[in-house]
Amino acid sequence: MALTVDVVTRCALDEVDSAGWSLRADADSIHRVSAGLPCLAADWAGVAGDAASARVGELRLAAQAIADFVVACAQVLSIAVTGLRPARDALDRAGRSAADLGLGMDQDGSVLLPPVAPVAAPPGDCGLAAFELERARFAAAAGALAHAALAEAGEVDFIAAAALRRFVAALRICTPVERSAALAFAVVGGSPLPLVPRSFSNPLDVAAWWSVLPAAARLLLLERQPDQLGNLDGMPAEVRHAANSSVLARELAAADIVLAREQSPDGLPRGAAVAASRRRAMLLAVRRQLATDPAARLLTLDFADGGLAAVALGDVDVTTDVAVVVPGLNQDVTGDLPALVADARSLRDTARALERDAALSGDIATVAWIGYRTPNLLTVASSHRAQVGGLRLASFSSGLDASREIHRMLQAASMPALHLSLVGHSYGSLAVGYAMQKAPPVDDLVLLGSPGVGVDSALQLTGRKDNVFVGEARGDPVADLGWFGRDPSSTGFGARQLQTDGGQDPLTGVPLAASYGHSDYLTAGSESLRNIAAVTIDAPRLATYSD
Amino acid sequence: MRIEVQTSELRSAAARVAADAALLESLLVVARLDSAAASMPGTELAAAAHLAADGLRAALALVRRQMAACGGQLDAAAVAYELTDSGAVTRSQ
Repeated sequence: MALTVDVVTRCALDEVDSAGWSLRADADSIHRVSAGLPCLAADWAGVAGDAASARVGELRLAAQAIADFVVACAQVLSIAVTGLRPARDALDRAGRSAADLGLGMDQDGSVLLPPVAPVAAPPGDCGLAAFELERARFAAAAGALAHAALAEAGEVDFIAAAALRRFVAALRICTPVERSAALAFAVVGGSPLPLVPRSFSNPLDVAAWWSVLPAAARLLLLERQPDQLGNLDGMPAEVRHAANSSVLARELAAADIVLAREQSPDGLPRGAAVAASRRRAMLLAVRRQLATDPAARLLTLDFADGGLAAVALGDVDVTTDVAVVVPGLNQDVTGDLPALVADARSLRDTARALERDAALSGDIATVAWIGYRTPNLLTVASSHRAQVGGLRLASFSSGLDASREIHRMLQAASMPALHLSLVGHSYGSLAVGYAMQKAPPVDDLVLLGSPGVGVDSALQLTGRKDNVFVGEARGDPVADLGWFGRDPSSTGFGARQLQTDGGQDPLTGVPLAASYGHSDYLTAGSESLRNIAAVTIDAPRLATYSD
Repeated sequence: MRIEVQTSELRSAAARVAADAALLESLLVVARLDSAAASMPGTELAAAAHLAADGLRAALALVRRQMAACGGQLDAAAVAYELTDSGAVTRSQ
């Protein structure tokens, strides 16, 4: 039976909870009755006495069974309340958020945007278009949250009802031992692990699903199935980090065990030893990054495609701004993650300094993202890996936004929406271009030393021209190749051209270095890095331009 | 056949069983399950809770009846023994 919004929101869970506790007290009374029934054997010897003792013994067991039944019912009610409460609260919150924005919610949890906005933009907003955009985002988040809440509530309802029916069946079993076993089975059978969404599910659905799970179920999943949670886009960053850290420790230990076998007399097949050795090297590279920075969070740890990892610096679920740095040619986790994390750290430090210099509020987290198999010299002429990377990057970006939106809706409505930037370097900018074909909720793009992004104009990337920024350093041979569509640094492409030649910081007067060649865009102290930072903190007016 | 019985203890046991039957009668356990069901109208759980309440009502009624009957039988046995002998009874047949 599919539950409706009204059915779930009208559940008086406090009363159900209270009934559960009262049932426990009743069960104690029945237990006392059972235990207190007289033992006649001492006072009445003989045939009639034996028969009376047996009869009282049967009554004792019958009362005991009823007490057990009542306890089991109370347990189910408590489990149901624990499971239904987050779902009901989420539905309440989603319904209120929708109502605040002048939107209604269907009984199946759908939130529909009316074709014409019937409400005025709130005071202080930057305009009706922005308000409508915000409203559409909230509507999508509210709808996803409501659907997840209804699904979870339906699951809890089904499981709890099935358990109660099993109890009733058990109560009818005559033999006390069998009845006791049946009751025990009914309790155990009523608490299965929740089903984890598949990889690349809609991140908003994932975020909503997780938010309505009871705390106990979350902990259980984190303990038993970290592999399924760590790379799931839409999950909160802290959960991804905890899950991936757990997998990291486990896999390192496993690799050590495999390699130890290599030393034993019977040895290991050579292929297995090489694979274990490679995996161990990759895991150690990741672990070193986590160990050197307490702000580092492991958002991706995947052994597919030769090993993938994404390390965030800062809390991507909370900071105002998030920038994802996407690398290009010949980047792998084992050899290149440290340098990419260093780039992400330089970007973060520069952005935070710029915020201070410009007296801006907010904070930024950056992500070193090796979330796709980057090409080597033999495969770089093909766009295939960028297409695969683009799909993953779009999902990852949507996941960051989805987690934030659901968090805002449930806990911190005053928190601003996420300002998300993608910074693609070289072939990574092509991956960014393909990601944008999936229309992820990205606010700004920065394309550095780009050989093309798969389209011929900035407008085709984001639907706007003012949020696509290009950096081209002197002496960068890749930036003018135009292998994958029109050169993004050409005038006809329509992107804003960031200055990279060096100069003075307009705010502080501090000299800024010029960038040269293909790999100098994120160098600390450069004009290029400062300008990229300005874009990522949503202050492009602070950047310097060459167009 | 040898029978040994303390009829005062038997009467006390009869009273205890009858009192326990009354205590079971006084518990609101079925009403609580029905109340929980009424707090979640439209759910599967509510229907199952009503079912559980029905099952509990039947089981409790049966046990109560049996306990009351048992108490009555114990009391009747004590009376019968007292008619045959008084106080502590030790009889041989």
